[in-house]
Amino acid sequence: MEEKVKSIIFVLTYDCNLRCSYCYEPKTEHIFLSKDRAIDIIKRAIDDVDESYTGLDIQFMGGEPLLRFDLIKGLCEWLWSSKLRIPILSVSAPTNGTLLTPEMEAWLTENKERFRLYLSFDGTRLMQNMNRSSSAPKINLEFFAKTYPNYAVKMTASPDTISHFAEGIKFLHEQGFNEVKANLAFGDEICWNKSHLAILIRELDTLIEFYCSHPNIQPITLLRTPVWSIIDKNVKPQKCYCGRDVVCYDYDGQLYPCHFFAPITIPKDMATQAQKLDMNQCRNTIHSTCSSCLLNKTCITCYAVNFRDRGDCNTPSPFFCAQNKIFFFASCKLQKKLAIIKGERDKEKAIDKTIELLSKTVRK
Amino acid sequence: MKTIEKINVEDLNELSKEASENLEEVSPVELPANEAADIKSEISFTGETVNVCVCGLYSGVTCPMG
Repeated sequence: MEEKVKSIIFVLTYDCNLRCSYCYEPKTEHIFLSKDRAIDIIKRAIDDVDESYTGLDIQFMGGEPLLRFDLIKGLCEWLWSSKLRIPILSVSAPTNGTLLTPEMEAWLTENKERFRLYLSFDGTRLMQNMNRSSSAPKINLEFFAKTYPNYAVKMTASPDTISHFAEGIKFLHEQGFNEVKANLAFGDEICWNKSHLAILIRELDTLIEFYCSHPNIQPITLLRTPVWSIIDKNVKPQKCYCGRDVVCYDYDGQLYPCHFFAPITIPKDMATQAQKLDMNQCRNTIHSTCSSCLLNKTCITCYAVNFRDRGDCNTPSPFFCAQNKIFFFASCKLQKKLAIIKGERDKEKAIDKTIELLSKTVRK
Repeated sequence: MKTIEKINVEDLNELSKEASENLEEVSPVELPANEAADIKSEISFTGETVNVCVCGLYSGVTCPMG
C-alpha cells in the first residue's frame, strides 16, 4: 500500500523570545494551553484523519515551541503511549535554539529517534545576529549538528544578509549539517529590490562553484529542483497540499489549512475567511499569467502568502516569481555541472534538453 | 567556436538577469509563438525529485511554513 502521510501542525504558543527582522508572525499575544486541553485537541485532530492515511506527522509550532517544553514532553508521552488508529511516524518542532537547557538536551538526546527538533539559524554568526536579535552566542550549534546531522537546519536570508548568502550556507555545512535549507524572507513587507536579486545571482554562482568542488555535499533544496520536470512527461505539477495532507490546529482547537493561515500570522478576520477556502479549488486553478510559463510544473507558490498579501491564493508576488526563476536557472547550471562531474549521462542529457528549451525563450 | 555548454550557461545567465530586473509584474518564462508548437522533446527521466516550498523549510508535498 502506498504510504500517505497526514501532517498535523499544532500551535502551542504565540510567544517568542526573539524579534527577528523578517518575522511573519507579528502576534505577541500571550496564550496558555493546558496539557489536558492540548490532548483533547490532538485527539480530535487524529480522529478527524480519514482512513486513507497510513501515518501521522505531528509538528508542534509556535512562536517558539521550546517556551512550552513541558507541554511538548507531556504530549509526546501521551502520543507514544496511546494506541492510535493511525501510527505516528514522526514528531517534531522548529526552534530558534536559544532556550535549550541541559535537562532539555538530555531528553532530546534520549528521544532523538522519535522526536526531532529542527533549528533555524541564519548562516554565519554575524548573519544570525543581524537577523535574529543578536542570538548567536546563545545557540549550541554543535548539539544540533551532532544530534540531528541528517535533518535540516534552516537559513533565512534577509535584505541585510543576502550579500553573505553563500558564506552562510558554507558555514552551516562546515558545522556538520548534512542538509541545509535556505530561503529568502518572504512577504510584501520585506523590502527586496533589484539590486538584492543581482547579489543573489552572484551568490548562487559562488555556491555553484562550492558544490562543484565538494560534490558529495548535498546542495540546498532550492538548488535541487528537478529541472528536467518541465519536459518530463512523467512528472506532474507540484502543489502545496495544505488543507488536505497538511492541517493546522490552533491552541483553541480551530482548524486552518496551515499555520500561515492561522491568527498567529494573519488578522483574525482573514483567518476566519481562510477557514472557508476551498483549497482543492485553489490547487486546480492557475493564475492566467502563469499558465503559459514553462516553469509552472516546479513552481510551488505559497497560497497563504498570496492570500495574505494579495487576497487571492493563486496570485503570486512579482518578487516570488523573480526569485523562483533565478533559483531555477541556478539549479540548471549546478545540476548540469554535477551531472558531468559524477558521470551521470542520462541526467546530463535531460538537463541539456531542458536548457535547450529554456534557451529558446531568451529575448535575442 | 563556443561550446554548447558555454552557450547554455550564457543563456541561463541572461535569463537570470532578465528575471532580476522585473519586480513590477509576474511574467512567464514562455516560448515565442513560433516555437510554442515545437515542444516535442518530452522525455521520461526518473531522477531525484525534490519539491520545495517558498519558505525552503520543507521538501515534499507537506509544506508547513516554518
